[in-house]
Amino acid sequence: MADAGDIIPIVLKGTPASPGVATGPIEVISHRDLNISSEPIHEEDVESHLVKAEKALDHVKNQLIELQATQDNQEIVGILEAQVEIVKDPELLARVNQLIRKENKSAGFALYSAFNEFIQLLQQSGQDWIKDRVIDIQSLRDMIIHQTSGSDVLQNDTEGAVLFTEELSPTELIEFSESEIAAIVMQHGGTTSHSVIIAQSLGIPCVVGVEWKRTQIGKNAIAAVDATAGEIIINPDSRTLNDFIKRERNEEIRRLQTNDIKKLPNQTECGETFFLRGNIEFEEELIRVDEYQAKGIGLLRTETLFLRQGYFDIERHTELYKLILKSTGSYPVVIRLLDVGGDKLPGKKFEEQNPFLGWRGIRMLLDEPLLLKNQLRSAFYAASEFPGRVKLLIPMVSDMSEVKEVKASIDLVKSELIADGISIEDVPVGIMVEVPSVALLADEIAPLVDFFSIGTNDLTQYTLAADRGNERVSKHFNSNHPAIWKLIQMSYDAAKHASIPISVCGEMAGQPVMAAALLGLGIRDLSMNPASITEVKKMLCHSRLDECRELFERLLHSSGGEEADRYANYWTEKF
Amino acid sequence: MVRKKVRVKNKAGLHARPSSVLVKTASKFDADFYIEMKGYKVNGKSILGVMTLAAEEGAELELILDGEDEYKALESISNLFKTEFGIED
Repeated sequence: MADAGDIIPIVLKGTPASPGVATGPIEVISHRDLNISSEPIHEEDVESHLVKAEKALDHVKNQLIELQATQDNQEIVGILEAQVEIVKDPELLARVNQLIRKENKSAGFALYSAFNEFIQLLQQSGQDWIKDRVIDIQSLRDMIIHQTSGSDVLQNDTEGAVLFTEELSPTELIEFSESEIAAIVMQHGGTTSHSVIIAQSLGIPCVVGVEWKRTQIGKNAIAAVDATAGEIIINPDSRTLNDFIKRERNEEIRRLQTNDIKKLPNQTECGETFFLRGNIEFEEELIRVDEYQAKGIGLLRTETLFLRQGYFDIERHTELYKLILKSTGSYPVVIRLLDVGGDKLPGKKFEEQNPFLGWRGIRMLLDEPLLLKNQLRSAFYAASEFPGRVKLLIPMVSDMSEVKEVKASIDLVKSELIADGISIEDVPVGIMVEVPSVALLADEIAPLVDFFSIGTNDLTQYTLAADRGNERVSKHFNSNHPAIWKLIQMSYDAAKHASIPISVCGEMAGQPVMAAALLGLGIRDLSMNPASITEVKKMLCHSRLDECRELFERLLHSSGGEEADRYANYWTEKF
Repeated sequence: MVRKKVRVKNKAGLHARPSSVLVKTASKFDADFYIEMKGYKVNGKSILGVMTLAAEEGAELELILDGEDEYKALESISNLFKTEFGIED
């Protein structure tokens, strides 16, 4: 045993849950001292305990709802929503009341028992996801019980601290994060527990499954945490501590560089301008479009709104399109027509053996003319308020005839709207290049449309005959395959010849080295998940066009996907 | 009283998020709502109850509604199953 004052480092291991390096004073946050008495209460106290339990549940519910209102991350909002439902659970409430009224249990004990009865049932079901949910429910339970005894765990001084806890509820975590905690070390908690998901999205380093003991933590102890590796050192020696502080600082520098990159103009080292836009689906993502400075929306997916409602709600769609247009300045917004499988239509019940080769996208829309017309109406309503900014994108085109049919449908909708006295803006109509036939016939199709947008994911899976969801063939699914580059080049050449714009909106655009190669080919318009923009911009701002051109040529002329990948890796490292 | 059999389409099963959407929708209606699965019956307005079903992808559930607005409720609820609760797993 070490004497007091003779501080020895203690190394602990756990499961990495949210990456990062951090150091700080240790603050122990404990829920274990729950004040629960199993002693029966007096008959005359029953009412007061009923009120106490109700107030505690109400308090936590309101806390959750308030927190929810301050969050813009949809995942966090969803988690908090589920927790609100738990606190409001009628079966839970009934059981708590019964325990207090019929069995004379205290409010704390009744809550504890009622929660545990459900937790036991959940544990019996034996499914994987249950384990982490049980942890979430336990932490919620403890938070409520704390309320009944009037104690508040959130009184510690946590500024810049490394928190050592058994577990934290999502609510506690969000509140602690406001005092800029350095890291979290949890005894329990799975890597998919709700608290961990929140730690990840808030960028707080977190390690779970760490068996720390109170006796290991002396007064004023500090900890160095490498959450990426899952290692924690209590009382690190000065060399280790300095090493950690240096790593912490490097991470900070990288973050700052990101901010610097945001300030750079969207130009290559040699002064060539490019445009990076966002692929989005919900209004909630607009905040990220803004944060990463996307130049408008290169792909607005409209499927989820449709699927959520189960039918096409013209008003809701028009509203969504308008909101997105309103929030994206003077930049374009490309609305992609519904790209869903027909089995998702209300009242349609069938299964296809090969849904990706089946009745979907424009094939389905042309067979469901009312659905197509409704979406076109929504798009025109929105476009009339934001002239010159809306573009329409047709998914899954495989034949020229489909383009002609959609155009006929557009003309019909236009004339109907005009007849109704609604002013109409001309809207450019482009197609997704994602079925190989379109790339092969790009020369013939380009004069018929206003722009091309290459969907590299589907183009890859259709060209290489590799299902992108099938792990067994995942090595065959490689967008960096010369065959794909060849099709992209054909599409680019055709677009150039016909003088129509061409952009890429598949995952390729969001991979820095692939984006550089696309730029090398001549494509200046890339659309991606907004979170990818910074890394892509960093690569493109520091590249020259001639280097990118050479990269493209090398990938195009490689012997296969593997060789192309090797060259892409080499290029990235050189960079 | 109305009854209808539905199937869970979500890949991850009826986990916390879909359960929360389900309970929230069901609570908007006055009708009593129960879900029966493999002879086990839970209150469909109780998220903890719904989660204890641990219904996996493909599981068949029977929705049982009883009350004035039972048809409207049934339509809304069975629609959720159809559209996978608007959640991508």
